[in-house]
Amino acid sequence: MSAEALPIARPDRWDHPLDPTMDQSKATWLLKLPPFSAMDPDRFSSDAPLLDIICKDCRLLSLEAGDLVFQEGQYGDSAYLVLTGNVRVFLSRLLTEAELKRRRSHRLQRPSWLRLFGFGRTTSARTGDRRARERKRSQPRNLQSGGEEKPVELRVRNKGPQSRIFLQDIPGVLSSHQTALIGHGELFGELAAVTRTSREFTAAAESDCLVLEIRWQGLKLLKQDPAFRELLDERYRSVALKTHLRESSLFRFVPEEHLDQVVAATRLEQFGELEWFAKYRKQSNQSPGQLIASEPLVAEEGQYAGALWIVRSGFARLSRRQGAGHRTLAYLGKGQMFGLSEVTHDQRRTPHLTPLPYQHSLRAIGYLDVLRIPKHTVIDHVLPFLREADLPTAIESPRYEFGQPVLDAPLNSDLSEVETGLLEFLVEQRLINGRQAMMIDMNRCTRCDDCVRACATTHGGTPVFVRQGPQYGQWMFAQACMHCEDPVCMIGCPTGAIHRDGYSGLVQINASTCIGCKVCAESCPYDNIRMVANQDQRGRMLIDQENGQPILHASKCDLCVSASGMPACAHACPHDALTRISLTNVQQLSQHVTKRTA
Amino acid sequence: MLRKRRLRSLLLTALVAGFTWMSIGWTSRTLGDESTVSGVVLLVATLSLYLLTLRKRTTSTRLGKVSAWLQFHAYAGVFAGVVFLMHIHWPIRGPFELCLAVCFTFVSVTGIILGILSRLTPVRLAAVKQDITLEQIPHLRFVVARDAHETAISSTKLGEGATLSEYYQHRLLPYFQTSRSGLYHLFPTGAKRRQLLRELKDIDRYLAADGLRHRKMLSAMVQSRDDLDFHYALQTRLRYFYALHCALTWTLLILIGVHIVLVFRFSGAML
Repeated sequence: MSAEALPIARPDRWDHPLDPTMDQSKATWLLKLPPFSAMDPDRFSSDAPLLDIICKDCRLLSLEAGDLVFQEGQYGDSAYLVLTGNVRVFLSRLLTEAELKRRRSHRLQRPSWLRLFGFGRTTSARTGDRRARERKRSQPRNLQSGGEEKPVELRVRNKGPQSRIFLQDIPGVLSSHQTALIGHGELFGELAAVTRTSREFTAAAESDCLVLEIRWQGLKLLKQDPAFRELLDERYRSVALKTHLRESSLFRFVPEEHLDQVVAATRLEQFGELEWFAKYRKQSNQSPGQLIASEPLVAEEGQYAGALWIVRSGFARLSRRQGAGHRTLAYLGKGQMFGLSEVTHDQRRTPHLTPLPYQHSLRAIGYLDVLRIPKHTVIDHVLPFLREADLPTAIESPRYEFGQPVLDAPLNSDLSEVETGLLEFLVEQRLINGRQAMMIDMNRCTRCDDCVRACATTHGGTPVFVRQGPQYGQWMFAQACMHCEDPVCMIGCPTGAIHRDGYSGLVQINASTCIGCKVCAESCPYDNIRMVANQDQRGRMLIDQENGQPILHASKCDLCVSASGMPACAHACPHDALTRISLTNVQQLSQHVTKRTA
Repeated sequence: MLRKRRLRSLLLTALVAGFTWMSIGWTSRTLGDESTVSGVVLLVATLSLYLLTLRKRTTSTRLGKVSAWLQFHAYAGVFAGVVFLMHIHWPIRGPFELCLAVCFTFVSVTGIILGILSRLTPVRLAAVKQDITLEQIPHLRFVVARDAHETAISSTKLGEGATLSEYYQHRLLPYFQTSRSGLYHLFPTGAKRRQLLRELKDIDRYLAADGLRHRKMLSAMVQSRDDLDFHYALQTRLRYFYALHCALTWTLLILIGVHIVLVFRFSGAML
């Protein structure tokens, strides 16, 4: 068999611009507008000049009143700049948790034969009731004073080849929801793009307007300009703070005037590095003790508990000293808090008692974005409005007390939901980042490789995962893309070929825009992305016409989203050994482990 | 939860088997042809066992998980076995019927063995320190054998005599260079490894510090090779049994086809 090859020109970073209709004249016009007019073109490299960034990484969106720019829950990798008109950002949630969950589900909504027997059916009346309950429960502040929240109706508007989702009766919706005005020349939506998280709120055009979309790759290049970088950083500090405080359940019943006090006192702090994978790779040979010591310390056990910490994005390790080392008790993800028990203890204490120091330590794993609320602010403006049921359980026998000796904690005390060893392993391997990790129970796996075969059949004969990987006891975490909570593989992609699906958050690769630069494969801390040779439809290998080297593209698990929406590997396992599981959630992991080891 | 599911499935199987038994009894009492009734039920039950094969050949996830189909296969297999006992008449007359009965029995036995092995093998494999895929084993065996050879050769240059290299030549070289016996592949044990490790330990008294270091390296390699052999034996045993089970099921299908033709062709002739 002769291996035929087809010489082609090597794909280039800007072969696929964001908007093919964006030409030099439009870009030149944009250059005259702020913030581009304030930028120094000489600061940009000759490989990616400012004009080319605008031409290739930007898109002009002409919106009509009510058109959505983005929706809450959607994963986005673009920032938006208002050129003309106004945009409104909804500060209250428009979608219920159930709606968000349904949209995030990557499974294709197909009729199932099981529905014939009544499984999975919900009556519309029941669904409606639940929606109303959920909406009310999660957002008591949605209602304007004296007004009723107007139900939101989304429609699709077809305009030429493109279609846009719009809000029906925008004036009515705006009058009944809390919104923030984004006017001419203002930038918005960059937070989700920078932090690789989902959009917190919905943005819609208030009137007919022109908006410039800047994709993440362009945004990164524009940050070479110091003024633009400063603008982004400032917005990050000011906007993120308000939106995230409103999101937390702790502030559900806090009146608006007290919340303003909390906002004024809260600080947004970052620990670690956004591009943490490079450091992690270097540290992979270090001992657990050295690894923990190298993690940025947010709060230390035994120190004065001066603040409440709320995780905004990233992960934190909750640990305590054990002998000469540290024992991991849990890892905290988005929305979880640290220090509330200590602060609450201080509020409850009688005058003759001394305040409690932090009982545990909090460290940033990789990168951590936290809100720091001073203790006195929590005591004065938050705790009075908390229900008894929402308060944490009182610390009965504190390990750390000012002026008291500290005893070493017993090793066998059961503090975490998951076995400590497994917890330490997950944190050390950074597997806690996985939303769809492939977890194999080796006590059930017969090594029949039916999962590999199913994967290969679904992906044109080549499996996109390896049934090998780090193992702890009976649990193996195979080398399959975990569709991470924080997909660091996306950071360096110059074309945006590796991206997140809007709602499901699954990390996908667009083969047509992948230029085979290997940046994603080298960035993935888990080696779950492989570079494979490109072939045309006739099976001929594509090679570079200049040097004869194969043209590569990145390949990884896509969770069979294009085939059936459900992973073929998990469905093919005859012994139920293989599960796709979110390791970002300790409860889910705990339930799975308990079920299997019971 | 698992126990509940198992109990429920067993109860259901027993209920269906009981109902079949009563139907056959009722047919017999009403002077009907109980062989036809049991035969049809057996045919349906046996054919339903092939649904697992069909499910495995498709990657469509809409048909449910393969594990659920395997559960159905197991209980349908038990049910088919019970109906088979109701269907045959002792003594089995004719060589063809005997062939069919033997084939059915073999399919059932290999199925039961597969069921047991697929429960026990993973636990035994998981007990080995590192998981190894079957495809990697030949290469890893070669690497271990090469390293052992180099270690043994280098031990002669230590100035501590040729004890270790002599032992390697007589006892370890065949162990590293040849594959294990057929019996080992059927019933893998650690007896050989334990024996070799004990013998290696016994040489310690003739070795100085460097020799001891080499001896420990060789011991580790004996352990590694045994782990590889153990993995290979357990994984291939399961695969061979699976292949045997599959081959027999297709043979059984052909024999069932012939049996049906014969039944219709000569119906009444044997009475």
